[in-house]
Amino acid sequence: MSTSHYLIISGAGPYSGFLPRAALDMALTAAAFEQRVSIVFIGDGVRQLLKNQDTSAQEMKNIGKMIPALEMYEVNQVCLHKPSALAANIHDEVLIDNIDKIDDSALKQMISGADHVMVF
Amino acid sequence: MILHTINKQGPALLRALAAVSENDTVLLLEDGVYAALETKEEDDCWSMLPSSVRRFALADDLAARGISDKMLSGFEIVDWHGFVSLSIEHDKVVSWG
Repeated sequence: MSTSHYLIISGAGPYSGFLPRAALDMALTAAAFEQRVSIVFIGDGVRQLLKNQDTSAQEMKNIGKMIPALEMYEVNQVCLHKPSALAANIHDEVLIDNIDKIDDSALKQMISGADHVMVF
Repeated sequence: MILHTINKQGPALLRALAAVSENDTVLLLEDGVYAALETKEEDDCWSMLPSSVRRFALADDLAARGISDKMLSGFEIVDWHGFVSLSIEHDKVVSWG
């Protein structure tokens, strides 16, 4: 099977509707089919990367627990758009560990280098 | 060369514009067309783009909102056929939501 590079851009808050889950499902599915997958959290999407998410009082899957598992399922790159985090006043100490930080120019390079770009 | 379609104004628009590179093209759709209106604030957001970036807005969405004649200079109007042509001309399409 030929391999393409999928770039998934996730821009919504963790519990703002179906889009955040759809982005993660897309990443996991593409990785399961042995495609190269990168995911970037941007805008309100950076809030998906907060480590103290607790959904135990609601019947919702904890997005913050799913993200660290992406690498195990062979999603190649998990990135945070740094300018979005700064704008939301989100700093490293509240974030999930081992997330790559990217700026605007790195984002542009990722977009131009990918075969498919999907925005959620 | 990437065609960026943008269907919202406000923060979503700014986020998309931050990802536009030299020689890319921006096409405004749906409520995104409001960003092509003559107002001081929107003017600023367009000045951050490289001058090689072409800008378009979809005719039907402008007409539906009654703003076809109130656009900033620097925008071209395309119909649906133009949209298809732009999609074909570019290496890929990124649909910002």
